[in-house]
Amino acid sequence: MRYGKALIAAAASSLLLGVSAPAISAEKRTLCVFDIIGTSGDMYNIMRDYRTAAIEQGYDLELKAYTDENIAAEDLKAGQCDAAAITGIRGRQFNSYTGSLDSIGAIPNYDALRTVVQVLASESPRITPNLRSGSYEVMGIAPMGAAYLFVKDQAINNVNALAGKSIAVMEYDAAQGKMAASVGMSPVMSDITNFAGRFNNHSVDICFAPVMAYSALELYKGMEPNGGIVDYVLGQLTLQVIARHNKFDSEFAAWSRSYFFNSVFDRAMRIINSANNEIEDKWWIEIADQDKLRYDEMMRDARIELTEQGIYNKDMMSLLRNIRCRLDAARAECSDQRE
Amino acid sequence: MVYKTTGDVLVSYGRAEMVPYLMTYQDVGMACATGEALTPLLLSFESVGSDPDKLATLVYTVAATCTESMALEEELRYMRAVKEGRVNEAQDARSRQKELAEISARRQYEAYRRSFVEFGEADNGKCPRLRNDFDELVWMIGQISGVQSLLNDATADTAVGVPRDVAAKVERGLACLDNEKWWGVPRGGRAALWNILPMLKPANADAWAELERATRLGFEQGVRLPSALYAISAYSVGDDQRVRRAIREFANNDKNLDPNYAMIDSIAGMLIKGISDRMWTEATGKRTPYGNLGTFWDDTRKSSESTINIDDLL
Repeated sequence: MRYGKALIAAAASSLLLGVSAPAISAEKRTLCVFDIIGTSGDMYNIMRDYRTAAIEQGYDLELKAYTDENIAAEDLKAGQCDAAAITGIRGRQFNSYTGSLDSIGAIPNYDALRTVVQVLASESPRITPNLRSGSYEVMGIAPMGAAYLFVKDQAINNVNALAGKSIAVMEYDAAQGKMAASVGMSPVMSDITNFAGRFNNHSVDICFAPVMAYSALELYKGMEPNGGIVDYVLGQLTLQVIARHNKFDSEFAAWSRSYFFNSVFDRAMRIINSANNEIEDKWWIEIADQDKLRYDEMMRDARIELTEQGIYNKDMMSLLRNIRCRLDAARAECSDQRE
Repeated sequence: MVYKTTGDVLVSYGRAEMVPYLMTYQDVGMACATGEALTPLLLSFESVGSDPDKLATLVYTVAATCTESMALEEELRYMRAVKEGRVNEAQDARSRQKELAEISARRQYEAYRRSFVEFGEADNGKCPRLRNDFDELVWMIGQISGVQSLLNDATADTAVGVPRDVAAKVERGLACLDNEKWWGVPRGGRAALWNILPMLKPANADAWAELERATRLGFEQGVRLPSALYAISAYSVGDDQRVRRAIREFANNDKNLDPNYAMIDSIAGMLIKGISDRMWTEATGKRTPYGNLGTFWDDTRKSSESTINIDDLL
């Protein structure tokens, strides 16, 4: 009898335990993650933690690694992925508003980028509708580092010196080639697998690359002995989670955007800073203030033209201008309203 | 003076006797404990003038197997927790996995660093002078540890700051070794890097074909490290079919192993088992069932039931 009671008590307590720790039943979805080195990479690593946090919000995301970003974008279109984490440039085809974050010269530093991401995650009724376009919705934005011009000769330190030089540009970003041609450079269409090789064996004079590429692709080889990195931020690369709108509810989308701002931004910045720290000081090419102003001016003209051509989004250009001017009202552009 | 002599004797004994002896062990746990326990003792002789750099590469590498296997346990715990919707436990396991990955990355980077302090870096077609088999072994293990440190540092949110050019340097460093002599590891290792960093791949090279050849060489010579490199490479890029084939082949080629390098084969086995356990856990919530490496949860069993007509037996 004693044993009988004990058994009943044990059965009851196991039942209670069962009740007190219910398994959360989350909706299954597929998240395709572009990371150039696959499941071992930084971005995939960040997405694993995103996945864990998403379970509490009712979604169980199955992660799939893609080392080719284009295939991830195509699989999102084909419905193989319910959401995909891809770069902003590649994401432009799904949402021109956030796809214009990487526009040239539009986000001059990481403070500005932080403000941009904060604003986009604010759930303001004047912002959020722009994050949806057709069947797609942007559910998170993370920094991937500022991009600079890497040059093989320090003498290429002002706008005039760019004319006549060859530059490796990414063929899938129309803006890069147009921009290069507009200052008299000859663009050499390249992709992620060959641009660094071309720069390192000096078959092009200049390449445009994020700080992350410096060490991983040994861009110092192309800069040796007399080259450097022009200390002017040409743009910010971002990673964006773009989802099929009907696969996630709007509370989750809002939670996800705030998760990216509150949890992912600083982590991604740590990775970027560690890549930045690998760059020896000697490579940075300081440019004169008046040249900086000329670059600013030139970038602005280019953005206005690319916006007219429909490559960049007008609303985003105006938001970015306002953010730049809020952080530094002394900028020349703040006295007029061209963007 | 006495200390230096003792250090020199220890370094020379370690190299001539202990390392070859340890290499014949299959017991990775013993190597891990040896690495954790002996590293400080051995390296303390550096301050009295002995030069343990080569041994340091080896002892740091085996010391990292301790934290690697603990990190794997945490990763599996994380996967089970995610699968069952236990978010707190999943986050706890991930934090612990990252802590351990950071320690692994530090140990492995130190192993790599010691190898280039000793031999220099391979660059511009130049290779370091490797005088004998021991030097070559140290070089090879140092290079592989370099790549592993980079991958573990990524898991640890780059807390260690392993330089990212390690991958490109190792790709060149492995080319300094005789592929046939070292069981296909040099070319297999390079090809594995081409898969994750396609910009390192020479024109016309076929990474999978290279890995395939390296794997065969490893099986023939009885040290299956290239097979593990193949599986790791396929797992990183999410190529499920290739991962499964690699694990099956590894499990089916467990005869005629080289007893002189049993430890290297066992470490390869640990890596393969780790991938199999991750796949099983992701799919079923449990690791590879005991004794079932090379099988998968959804294998269709060759059943004889359908061919037997029970009525005939009665």
